[in-house]
Amino acid sequence: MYSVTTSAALSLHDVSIPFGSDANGAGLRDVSLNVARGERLVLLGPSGEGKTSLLRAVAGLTPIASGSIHVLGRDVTNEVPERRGAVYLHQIPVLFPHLTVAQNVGFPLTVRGAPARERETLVAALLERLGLSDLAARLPHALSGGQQHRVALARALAARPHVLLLDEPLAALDPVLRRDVRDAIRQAHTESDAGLLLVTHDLADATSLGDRIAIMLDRRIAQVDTAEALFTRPASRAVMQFLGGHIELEGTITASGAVLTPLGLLPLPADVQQSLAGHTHVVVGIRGEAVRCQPPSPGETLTAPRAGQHVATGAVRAVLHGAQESVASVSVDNLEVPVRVDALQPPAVGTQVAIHIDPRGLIAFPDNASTAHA
Amino acid sequence: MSTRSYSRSPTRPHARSAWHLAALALLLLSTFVPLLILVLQSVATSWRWPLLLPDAFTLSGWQGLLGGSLGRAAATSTALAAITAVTATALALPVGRTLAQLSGWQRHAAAALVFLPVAAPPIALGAGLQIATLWLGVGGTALGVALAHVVPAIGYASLLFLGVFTTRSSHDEEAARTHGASPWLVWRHVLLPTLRAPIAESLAITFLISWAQVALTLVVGGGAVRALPIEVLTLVRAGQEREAAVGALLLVVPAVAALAALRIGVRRTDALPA
Repeated sequence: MYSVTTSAALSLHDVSIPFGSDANGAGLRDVSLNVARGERLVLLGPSGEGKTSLLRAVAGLTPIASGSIHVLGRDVTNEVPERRGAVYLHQIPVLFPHLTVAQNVGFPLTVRGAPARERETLVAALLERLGLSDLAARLPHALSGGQQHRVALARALAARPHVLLLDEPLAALDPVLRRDVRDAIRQAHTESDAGLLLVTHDLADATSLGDRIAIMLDRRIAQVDTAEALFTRPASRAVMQFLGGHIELEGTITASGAVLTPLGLLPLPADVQQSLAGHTHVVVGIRGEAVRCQPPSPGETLTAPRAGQHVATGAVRAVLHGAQESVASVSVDNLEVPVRVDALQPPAVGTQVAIHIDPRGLIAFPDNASTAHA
Repeated sequence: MSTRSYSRSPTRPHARSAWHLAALALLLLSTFVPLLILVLQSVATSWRWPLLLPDAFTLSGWQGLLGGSLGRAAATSTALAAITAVTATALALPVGRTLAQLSGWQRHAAAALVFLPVAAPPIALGAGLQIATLWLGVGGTALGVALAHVVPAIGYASLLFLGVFTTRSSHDEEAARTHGASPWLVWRHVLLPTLRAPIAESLAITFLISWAQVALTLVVGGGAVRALPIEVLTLVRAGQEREAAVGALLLVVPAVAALAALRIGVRRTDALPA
C-alpha cells in the first residue's frame, strides 16, 4: 500500500490515464509509486505500456483521469507544469536554439527572475559539474549529441527540481554516446536530492541506472524492486518472462515440496513452496546463472542423475560465444537447455555433461496463473 | 568534378538554352518594361505616341511629393498598413496556433472560416464591413478603414501561422513550462524569438495587403480616407499622368523592399544561390 509522505520526492496514488479519446477504455490504470529523495527509479516496460504518458502526467503535460500526484507531500494533481517542481526531459534534448549553452542552462533562473549574480554563479557551477565550461558561449546547433544531453541535464538541475523526469534518454544512441549520457545522468544526479524517474525499455539501462526498477506490464505496475530482487524473485510469470534469462519448465509439486521437472527433482526454496500452497502443476523458472554444467571426471561415466551432484545429464550440441558470456546448448532428452560455460575452456560439442542447478536460483508459479506476456 | 550528359534529353542543349533565354526575356519585359514606362512617365513633361522617349523631362512630379496630396496619401497608407500589419499579426499568431491544435473537421471548418474574408470578393466584404463600421461609429474614418484592412489580413496571416504551428513541435514549450516558465514567459522567451522569421513574413504580407487595398478603402472610407491607391486612381482618372506615375512608383516601393528582404533572408538559409 502506498501512502503519501513528505519523505518521498514523488508519490503517485492510483493514477489512471486514458489513452486517446476513450476516457473509459484502455489506458494506464491505478498506478501507485513512491520515489524517495535522491533515489533513481527506472520505469521499465515494453513500448506502448504508457510509461511516457505517466511521466508526462507527473510533469502536468498530460491530464489524468483519476488518482493523485504529490511532490514532497504537496498535492500537485491540478497544478500547472511550472509549479510542480518536476522537470521533464524529452528523449531528444530540447534546447532553445536562440540561446547559448550558458543562457539555456540559466533559463529556469531567468524565467523566475533570479538576480544576475546568482544566475551566473549557479550556471558556472553546473557547467563545471557537467564538463561544459568551455562550451558556454556556443549555440545548441554547434554541440554534439552527448553535449546536448549534458546541457539539457544541467538546465534541468538549474531549475532545482524535486523530481527529474527523463523520458528514454538513452534510446536511439550509439553505444559510445549511450555510455557518455549514462555517465552524465549519474554525474548530474549524484549531488542532487531530487527523485529521478527515468523511462526505458532497455533492461541493461534500467539495471545500470536504477536504484529500483518498476516493471510496467499490461499498463499496470507489475513489480517495483531492486534489480537483484527482480531477478531472484519476479512477482509473476509475466515479469519473469519480460526480464528474460530464466529457463522455463513445467513441473509437478511432490509430497516433499520439491518439484519434478524434465531436468529432475528440484528442491524449491521455502518461501516459493509457501507461495504455491494448494497447487500441483507449476511453471518453474531457473535463473541462467543458477545452471552450470560439468564434463565427467576422468573414468566417470554419466548415465543417470545422482542426487546432490547433478540433476541431469546431456550432450553439448553447440556453444555460442557472446561479448559478455558463452552459452552451451545442452540437449537433455528432447529439451535444449542453455548453460553458461567458461568462455576460456568451453566443453567440446558432443561431450556428455552433468547439469547442476543451484536451488537458490529457482522460482515457480502456479501453472493456471499463467499471464504470459506477448 | 561533375559531368553532364544530355543523351537522355530529347532537347538539344542549344535549343534548350534558346528557350531559357526567350523565357527570361519575356519575364524581364513583363516585369521591367511597365516599371520603366512608369519611371519615364514620372519625369516626362509630355510623352505622346509614337515617340519612343519623352521629348522633355521635369522633376516637378517628384518635387510635389512633399506637402502634396500624394505625400499625404503615402503617409496615410503607411500608417494604415503599419496598424494593419501589427494588429493582424498579433491576432493571427494565437489564431493560427489554435487552428493548429484542432484536428479533423474542426480544423478544416475553422481554417475555412478564417480564409473566408480572403476568398470573398473585396467589394462583397467591403459592403459587409461598411455596415459594421457604421454600427461601430467609425465608418468613413481612417480607424474604420484600418479595421476593414485587418479582416482579410488576419485571414492570410492566420493561415501562415497555421502552417508554421502545424509543422512546429511543441516540445520547446513543454520544456520551458516544466522548467518554470508561465505561458506568458514561454511566449516571451521561447515562441517569439524562435518565430522571428514567420512573424517578419506576416508583418510584410499584411502590410502589403493593406497597402494595396482599393475596394475596402473606397467602400468603408467612403472617399474620405485618401490612401495612396485611391489617390493614384483619382489621378489616373483625371489624366494627370505624371503624378499618377509618381504615385504608382511609390506603391511599388514596399513590394520591392519586401522582395529584397525575402531574397536576403532566403540567401541566409542557402535556399537560393548567392
